[in-house]
Amino acid sequence: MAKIPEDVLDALESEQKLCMLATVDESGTANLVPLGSVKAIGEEQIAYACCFDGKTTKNIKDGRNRVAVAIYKPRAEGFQIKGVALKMLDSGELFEEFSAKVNPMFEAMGIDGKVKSVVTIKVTEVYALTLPIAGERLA
Amino acid sequence: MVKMPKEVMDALAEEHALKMVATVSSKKVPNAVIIATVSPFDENTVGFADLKLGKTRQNMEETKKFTVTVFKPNLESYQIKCSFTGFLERGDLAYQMGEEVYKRVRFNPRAFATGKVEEVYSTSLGNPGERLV
Repeated sequence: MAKIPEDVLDALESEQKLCMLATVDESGTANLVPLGSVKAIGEEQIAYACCFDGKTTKNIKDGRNRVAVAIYKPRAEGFQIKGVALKMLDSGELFEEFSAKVNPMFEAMGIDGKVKSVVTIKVTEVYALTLPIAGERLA
Repeated sequence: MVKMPKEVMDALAEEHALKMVATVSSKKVPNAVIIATVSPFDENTVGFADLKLGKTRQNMEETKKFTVTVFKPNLESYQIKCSFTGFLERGDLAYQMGEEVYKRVRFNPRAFATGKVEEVYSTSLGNPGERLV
């Protein structure tokens, strides 16, 4: 378990951030998708809303639970969080919180989607992604 | 090897699109990094500069694979799965691309990673996961 540094927590809080989530499929190939909603849960976990039943969900459900989240905060901050997917919640406080925020956004955009579950991730490593310190381990 | 659709080529060529590259280690641990220099070399080939590649380089050399996802400001997004073909370190093309990269980021690339496009998917909200080629 690693503690998320303050500047990474700030990036996760930012409305301008853009994130992507990498998982691993059965053939060992990376699957990399944009992540619309992700937030810190305390200092050692993050969570995201899973809204589509695609390869990401399959990879995690199949037990390949190692994940990497890359965070870009304009204009020049980037971080990578590595972790282990812990739970896929389809009810409870966190699920309701994400649903209340994300579902109306889909509706406003005219997109047929809603929060199907919330995935919690235990943070194991944190790295800087921007030059000149790209690759430096922060936690 | 497949050909990228025009809209995917255009997205990769767009300077303001966010581009990330994911690889997997030999122990099946994913790695995801921001790489602004990802660009289409031609319809079948994607490449990016090695400015300070660490795990990405190691993983590509071990597994011979990488995945690029591009996200445009208009929310259009694509995922391109590639087979890693090697590093371009010398020659006119490497020199020319190196100059372009230096103008943008003020770092001299060590080399350019190249890969053949194997699969292309939409990762846009309207049709996430749809295979395009």
